[in-house]
Amino acid sequence: MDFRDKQLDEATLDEIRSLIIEGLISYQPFVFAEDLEAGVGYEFEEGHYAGLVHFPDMPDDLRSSPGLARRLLPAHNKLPFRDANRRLSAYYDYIIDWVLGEVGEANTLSFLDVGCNNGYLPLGFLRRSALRAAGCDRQDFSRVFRLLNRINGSGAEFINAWYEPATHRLDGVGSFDVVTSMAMLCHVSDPLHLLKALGEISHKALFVWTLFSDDEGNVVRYGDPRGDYPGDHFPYCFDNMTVISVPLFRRSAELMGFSRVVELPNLDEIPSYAWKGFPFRGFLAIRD
Amino acid sequence: MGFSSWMKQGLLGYQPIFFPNGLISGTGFQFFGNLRNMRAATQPSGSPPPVVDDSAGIKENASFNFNQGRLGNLYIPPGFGDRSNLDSEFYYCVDDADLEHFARYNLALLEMYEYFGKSALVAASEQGVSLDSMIEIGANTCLFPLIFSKEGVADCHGADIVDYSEVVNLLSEIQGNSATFHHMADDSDQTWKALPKADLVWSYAVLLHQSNPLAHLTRLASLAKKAIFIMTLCDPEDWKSDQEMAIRYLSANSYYNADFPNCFDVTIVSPALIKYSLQRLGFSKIIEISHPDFDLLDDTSRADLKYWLNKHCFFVAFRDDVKGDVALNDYSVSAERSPYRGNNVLVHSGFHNNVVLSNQRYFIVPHGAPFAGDGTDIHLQSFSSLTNAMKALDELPTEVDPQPLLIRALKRSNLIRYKKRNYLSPHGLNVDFKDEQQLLRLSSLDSVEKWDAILALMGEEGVKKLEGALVDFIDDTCIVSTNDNQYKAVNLTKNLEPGSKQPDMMSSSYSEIVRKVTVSSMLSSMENDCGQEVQLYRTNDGRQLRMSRFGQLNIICEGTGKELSKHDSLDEAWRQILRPRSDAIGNT
Repeated sequence: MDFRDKQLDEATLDEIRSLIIEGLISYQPFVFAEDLEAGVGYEFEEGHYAGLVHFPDMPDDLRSSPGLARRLLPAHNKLPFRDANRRLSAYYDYIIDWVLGEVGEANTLSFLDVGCNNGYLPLGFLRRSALRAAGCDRQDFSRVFRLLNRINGSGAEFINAWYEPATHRLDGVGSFDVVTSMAMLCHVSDPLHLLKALGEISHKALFVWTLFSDDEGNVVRYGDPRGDYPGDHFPYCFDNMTVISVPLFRRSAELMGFSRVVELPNLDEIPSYAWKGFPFRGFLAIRD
Repeated sequence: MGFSSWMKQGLLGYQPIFFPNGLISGTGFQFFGNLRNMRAATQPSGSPPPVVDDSAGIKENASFNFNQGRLGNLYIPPGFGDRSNLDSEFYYCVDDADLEHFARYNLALLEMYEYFGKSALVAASEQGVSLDSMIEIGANTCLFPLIFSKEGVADCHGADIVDYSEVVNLLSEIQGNSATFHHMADDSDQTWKALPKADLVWSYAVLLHQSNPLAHLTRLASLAKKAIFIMTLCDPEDWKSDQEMAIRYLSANSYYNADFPNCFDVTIVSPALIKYSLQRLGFSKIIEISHPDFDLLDDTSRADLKYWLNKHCFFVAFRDDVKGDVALNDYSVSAERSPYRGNNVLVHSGFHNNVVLSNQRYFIVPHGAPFAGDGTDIHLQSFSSLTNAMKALDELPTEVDPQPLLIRALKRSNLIRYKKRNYLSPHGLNVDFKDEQQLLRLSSLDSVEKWDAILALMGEEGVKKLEGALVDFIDDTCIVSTNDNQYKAVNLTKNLEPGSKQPDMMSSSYSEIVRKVTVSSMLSSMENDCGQEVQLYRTNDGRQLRMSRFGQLNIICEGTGKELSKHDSLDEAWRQILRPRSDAIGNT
């Protein structure tokens, strides 16, 4: 999402810089100014940690912070970073348009993105006249939502709620016509319980974009845990590279009462993404 | 009571049992028959040879031909009356013509049970692990516990969701072995916690019926003091590499009825994931038990069995150290994403113990005890989750019934810590620390450091002279609880300065007086920072924003020194500065 046409004032840009330093803006593709961008697009395409924020004016004394060093883009990679995130942004927009094409008129529907990060999807749905659009996340992105709503002139709602493996529930969000979840299932140990929690709050459709294996059967694959969540213990330690098979997603959707499943088409002009050899694919389960 | 009753309840028919009245029950016939069909269907090149009758009706191949319709799991000897009414959803009675094969295959099955039981004991012995107790989860009629009892394991248990206790009691009596049966009414944490913990936990063909096999493994581990045996379907040939950690769900609601996602009841866990799980659960040494062979079987049946054995894993795994009940209770299938990060972080301070996060475990560290935080503190209780650590802390006798602890003996008083406060208890005063009214009359602070600071300023005598009980000390200010239920704040530093007696602050609320003191302290600090006139800003058009003292600001013309405006607040002054100079001058 490109906000350069908004000609953001220095105070707003300072606010953005501060949010980047806090680690609250980095993952989703947003362009705030010529020298202030974020997005995971470059890392997706490179297949390794390569930089999430282009922020050449970052104060020197902060650059050595391990958290910031992990996210900062080396200045010489500015152009490929920018191009990759333009493509990622186009991909997000493609998903939003495709989902809307499948589920109907945006102005009659409510949308929830689970694991919403900075709210690209809710903002995107609202830009297309959604009746209501919200996002929920474990991390408190409410300040980013307020900022982006102010810039965008929109009213995307942020809910600080998350899927809790202990209870297998996603409490505190209510239910929505369309629920989306992007790159979230690959970070949980109990993907089927997560699917159920998502299915329970989806009136009309559930869109899941995650890593899929090419297994013909109903398979869940696990990667070595990275230890992203220090309190996690076995069997909830799998925080990285949880991959499910397409038949398992289809079977799960069927068992949850969805009528049909449609796959997000691959188009030549739209990039495709993969991580460690597994492709990201999107499937929309629809209740007719 | 009786066999008919048991049969109606579905208590027989699975495990191979040879009753002394001639009755045989067991799934051996079905087991080998299904294997024969599976192997024929899935491995054309390895399919069993066709069985052809010669003219005399004698089979050319000695192996039994299973393709005769229903395969039985029960043989009823003569004298039981009409056996046809025993055929049911659970039982297929075997004809006399099939009796020999039925007995043979069930004996083979029984020998296989005995083989794995004995092999686990040999493995334990080779590891130097003595097994004095065992429990099987999903024990059916407890053949494994009875085998272990026969082999000399003193305390053998079996548990199952179906109540097989009557059968188990009878078999114990018949065999002269002893197994205690536990009926698991449900799969709740409470039910699992009620099961006895044992040196060895046994799981045979149960994990493959779990929708959540990793959670099930965790629960098994929570009962295993020394070792665990896992036999399950893992299909090693079916994975792309032997490093793959994966679960394959084969069927939903074919045995049980449950909602998604608990509906999957035939589940394959890859060998790598089982091994990884066992290691994460604390079993560092994993041994694969080699496959058995039986003289009872002909070549084709042996090949059938080999096909089956190759699709399963038979792991017996051992812990480095024996785990006691407390450590085992720490296993949990509940998840916790802790808000704390870092190493050696003080997470909670109790009455006599701290909880410290170190190396992803929560340690209970008694006050005053050394804590290295480098992995060598194994003598201290530690837990994988904060929830469990807090539960254990709350149950400690020292936390349930904390005792007063002498921190320091002073000249006229003792400094005594009780619960989370440090009391100044005068010598000779016999204080009952359980009596809250007595405690309210004593001066107390929430840290020893505060006592050090205040005693340095006013000594014990000074504290005694305060008009009430000291309850807090913030930035050189004593907060005292007076006899008329008021709180009074007395600033020591300012009152000690000659001629600078400060009026005491009063409030009926402790939080309010704390707020007043801290705000006052902050303001005082800010004033001290503004001891001399300073220039805060200089504009390009020749104006200066200056602060003469705290909160008093003015804007002057740099060239003439003339004061253009005066302001009581910084924001107001800045608004003025940010206006064009002509306006600014015009407004003065």
